[in-house]
Amino acid sequence: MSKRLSRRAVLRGIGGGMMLPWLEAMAAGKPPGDGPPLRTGFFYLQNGIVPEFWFPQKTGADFELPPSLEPLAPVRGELIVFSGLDRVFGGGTDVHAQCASCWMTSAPPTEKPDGMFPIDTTVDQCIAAAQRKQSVLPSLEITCNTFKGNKESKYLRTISWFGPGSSVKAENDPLVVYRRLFGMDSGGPVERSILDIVRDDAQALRRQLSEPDRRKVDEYFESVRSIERRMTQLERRAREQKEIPMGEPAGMPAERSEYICMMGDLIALAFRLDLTRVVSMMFGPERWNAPQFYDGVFDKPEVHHTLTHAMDKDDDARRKVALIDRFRVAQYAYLVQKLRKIPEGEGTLLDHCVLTLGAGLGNGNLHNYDRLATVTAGRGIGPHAPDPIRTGRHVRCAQGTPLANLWLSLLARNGLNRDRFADSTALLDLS
Amino acid sequence: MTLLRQVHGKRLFRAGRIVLRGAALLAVPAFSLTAGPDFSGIEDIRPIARRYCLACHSSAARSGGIDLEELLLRDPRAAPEHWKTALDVLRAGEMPPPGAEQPEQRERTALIAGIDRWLRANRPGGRIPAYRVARRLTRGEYTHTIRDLLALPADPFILPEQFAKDKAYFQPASGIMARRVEVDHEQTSNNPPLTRYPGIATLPADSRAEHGFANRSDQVSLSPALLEKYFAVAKDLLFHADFPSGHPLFQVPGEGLPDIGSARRRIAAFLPKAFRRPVGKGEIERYLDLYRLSRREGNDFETAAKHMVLSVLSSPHFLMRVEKRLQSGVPDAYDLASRLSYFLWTSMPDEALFTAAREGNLHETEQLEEQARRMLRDPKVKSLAEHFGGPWMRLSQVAAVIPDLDLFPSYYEPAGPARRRTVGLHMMLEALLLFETLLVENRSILDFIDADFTYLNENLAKFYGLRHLYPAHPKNGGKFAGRRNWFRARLGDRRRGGILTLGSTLTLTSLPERTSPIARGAWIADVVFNRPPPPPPPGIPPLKETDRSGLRSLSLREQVSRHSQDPACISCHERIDPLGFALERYNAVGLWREYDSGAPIDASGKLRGGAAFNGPIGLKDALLERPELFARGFVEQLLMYALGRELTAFDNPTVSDILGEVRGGGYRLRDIVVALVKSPAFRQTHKVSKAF
Repeated sequence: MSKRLSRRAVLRGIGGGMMLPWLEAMAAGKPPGDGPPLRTGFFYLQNGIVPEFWFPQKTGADFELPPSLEPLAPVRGELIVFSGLDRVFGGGTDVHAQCASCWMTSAPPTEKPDGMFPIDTTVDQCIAAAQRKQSVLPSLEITCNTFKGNKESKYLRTISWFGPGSSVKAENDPLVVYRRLFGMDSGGPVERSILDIVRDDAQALRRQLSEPDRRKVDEYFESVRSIERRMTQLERRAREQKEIPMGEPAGMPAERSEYICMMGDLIALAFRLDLTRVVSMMFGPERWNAPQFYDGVFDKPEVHHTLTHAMDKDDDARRKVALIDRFRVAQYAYLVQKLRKIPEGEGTLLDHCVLTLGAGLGNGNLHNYDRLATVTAGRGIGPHAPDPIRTGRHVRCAQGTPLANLWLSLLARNGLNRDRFADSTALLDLS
Repeated sequence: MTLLRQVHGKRLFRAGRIVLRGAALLAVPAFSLTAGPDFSGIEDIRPIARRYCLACHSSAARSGGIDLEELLLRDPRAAPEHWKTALDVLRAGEMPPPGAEQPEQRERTALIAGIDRWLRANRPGGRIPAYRVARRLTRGEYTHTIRDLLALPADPFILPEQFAKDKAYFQPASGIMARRVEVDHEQTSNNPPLTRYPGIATLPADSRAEHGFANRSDQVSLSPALLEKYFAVAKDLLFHADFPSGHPLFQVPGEGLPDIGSARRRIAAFLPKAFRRPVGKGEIERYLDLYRLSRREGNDFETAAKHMVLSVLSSPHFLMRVEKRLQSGVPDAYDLASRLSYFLWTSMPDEALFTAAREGNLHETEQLEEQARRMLRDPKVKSLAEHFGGPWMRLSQVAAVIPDLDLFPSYYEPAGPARRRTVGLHMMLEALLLFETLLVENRSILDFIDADFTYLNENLAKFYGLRHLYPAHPKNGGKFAGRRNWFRARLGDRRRGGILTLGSTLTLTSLPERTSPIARGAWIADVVFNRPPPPPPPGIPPLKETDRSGLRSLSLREQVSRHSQDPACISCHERIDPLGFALERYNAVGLWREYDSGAPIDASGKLRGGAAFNGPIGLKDALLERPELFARGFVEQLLMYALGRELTAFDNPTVSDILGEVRGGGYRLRDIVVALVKSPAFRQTHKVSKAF
């Protein structure tokens, strides 16, 4: 208990104090070549985009920034804009439900491990599982969903999955995210003993069960193990970490742009302090027909999904959807810029990141899975990937190139060399 | 569709393997490798099916992706879900399609009976598909269980899905809902739920299934962040300043009594309740060890006792519902008690139920029925309305709809924070009160289609233009509040009454600026018939609904109709659109209208395979003409909720049997619940595997 109080006191006391960046605090005394870790981020655009305002005409380094991508102008040189990456719809489910839930899945569309859904451990969780001993949080999942009620099922609200049927619950409250990063006490002997008891309970229980019941108890068991690991990590960090350079969020920001930027601030901080190396964020749930206020864009709330249905025949609707695209890109650009300002190793934090921004629908009106909007930012340098990603270009992929090829490449940069991921056909050449 | 078939084939193959292994083990002769498929029931219907169905559903034509030739002649197991589809369209009279040669009623009945017979004889593993559990407690279950386990005066959280702030009005033992009930609603919001313990950690809402309820075991999962929240809630609650002081669990033992003895007695009494089953000595000692450890750390009795209870509330035996596996195929009596209590109360069993389990007679049908009827008279059965009734009608979605302020100003209440207080909140309570009335009074569920009453508060009466049905304010010292005083109104006008014409239904299916007949039709197909339309396939231009840019001259109905004629769309839209058009007489917030944008409204329609009708009253009549279609849909939904899983084709006989039980009494709600509880599906275990 006393430990907790002192930590909390620290939290409250700090406003904007500076903290040692990763390298100085951690790398001292480490062998050369073992530089900063690679951070991988996934940013999901719900309901697709307007292709004509998104994809550049020119390929290569000479590409122009179409209106929806204009907010990325200051970091143009840090990007690869992809066109022509596809997914394949596996019939039998709603299109919106599958495009979100299966965006990062490791299951090919012909397999259906989760009912009718081709859902299996997603790329972020594959990376997280391999790194879980190193960071406080194996991964951080955020959703910028502020809608009320419980309108849509989890398939429209979840992009990250531990495995079939096992969704990772994403957070939508910046305060909860903050506390998840900083607020947990590392646990006294009593807390530790409670975890011991309940872990043993789960272990004994699972032995008595067979599938699929056992899988449910496994979820519990793995969760306890994860909490224990986090406590251990926190104990270690508590000795190293002196200050937290951001105060607790006072609550939900009133404006949507500020709200999403605050999530960006938290992600930047988590990356910088190496509290997590894997982040996924949804800009909002798929479909969900309810108005949302986009501050600084429209003067009244708009229903994004309904607009996408009208965008191919109605110029006004198309323009509005494109403005929503641009609004979301601006939030992503904010984070990319922020990471570029943070020095790390011999370059910037952004150099040790790959942040993928992408949509699960090609055209929100047609509900197709072709030509998915996909942008990466960062050079992706890490212990397993000394060669930087060659950024500052527009890559037009051959027709039918699976998005999974990109995921396969990101796994490789994280030291996970697989032959195949979902329906991948080859590595996507990033360098 | 090809893809779809492959998938089905694959799943079936897997299921088949399990079945075979099960068959060998249990010596169930249902099917084995050498004998080939069983055709009992199917043989009888071949001539009729050949005459009326096979022209379109042959292996070559495969209309709608359904190959009856394969099922009838080669292997009925090839796609059992298609038998369910066949039963649905035969019962609804949708097939054979209009224009094709129609079978006589006698032949139609024979087809249904034949399929039913085959399904009964060919259940996977030879067992009635039953309960599926193994999952964590949902947020609702956790909240109510904590309340009952710790004997708290009220739920620690008021969940948005509960709507009603007051509960005193709900007295099911009386068998009658009062003419006036006093109830106010809680503000509904996503996050966080209101709590009686300020500052306490909260649990997020559980997502509903794509089709079904939040308690489906394949939908409810755990992750580290979520488990941490469950731990945090228990800790915050036990150590909260407002936690009842002098709680018998934690009260310091009297002078001279040994602490450890008190702690042991208390945990020995507490643990079986928390784990909802008897516990062994070893288990008690393990948790008592934690008390000892906490004491060694220098904590006082109360703190150490709370630590001990905290560990119990963190255990998978408390947080998860896992059943014992017994060879007999009958659940353990304590597990059966939990099935009952979580179905009817969304909470743990009470003392009487534990006693029945202990005495071992809960398996007897009479005892089971007696317990169910007793529980239906307990105020805790309000949970059935909140956690089944509300989600069934999709009530929480009303909160997600934000009608356009300029077009529908009366939806918003002028007082209070802008846009916060809406009529929508009253609408949700109106719907909940309807469900509760049917439950308390054991009324026929056909009242859901057409009731001659509703409950109105003053705000809603005014909004609907039914002010004359709301009594004048009683003079009682100025205390009367029109918003929290609900009166039962005899409607005498069939434009209101029943779920189709509820403000909540009509609003939650609308867009901010206008109605959506398709969404309304889909709601009816799902909620009333339990036959949700399949998701629209990708790549097809969706129905253009907006009335902008040049299409303004077309009425909404014309636009929708025009685009629904696409051959790929018509088979489903033919079924759902007319249902929605019948409700076009109500605007996007559920108010009656004669015109839409100045043009008269065409609210005529025809049930696919049924009668033509006009407007909401016509629709009600058409539905009441064939009550079994709705009753079946309702029983299926309730069965999904009770069993916590999706239904398969093999559940169809169970539903038929329940309907057979309640048909004579006119489909009364409590009778349906009791019949369901008595059904083998509720009382058996899913699959025999390793014994404990």
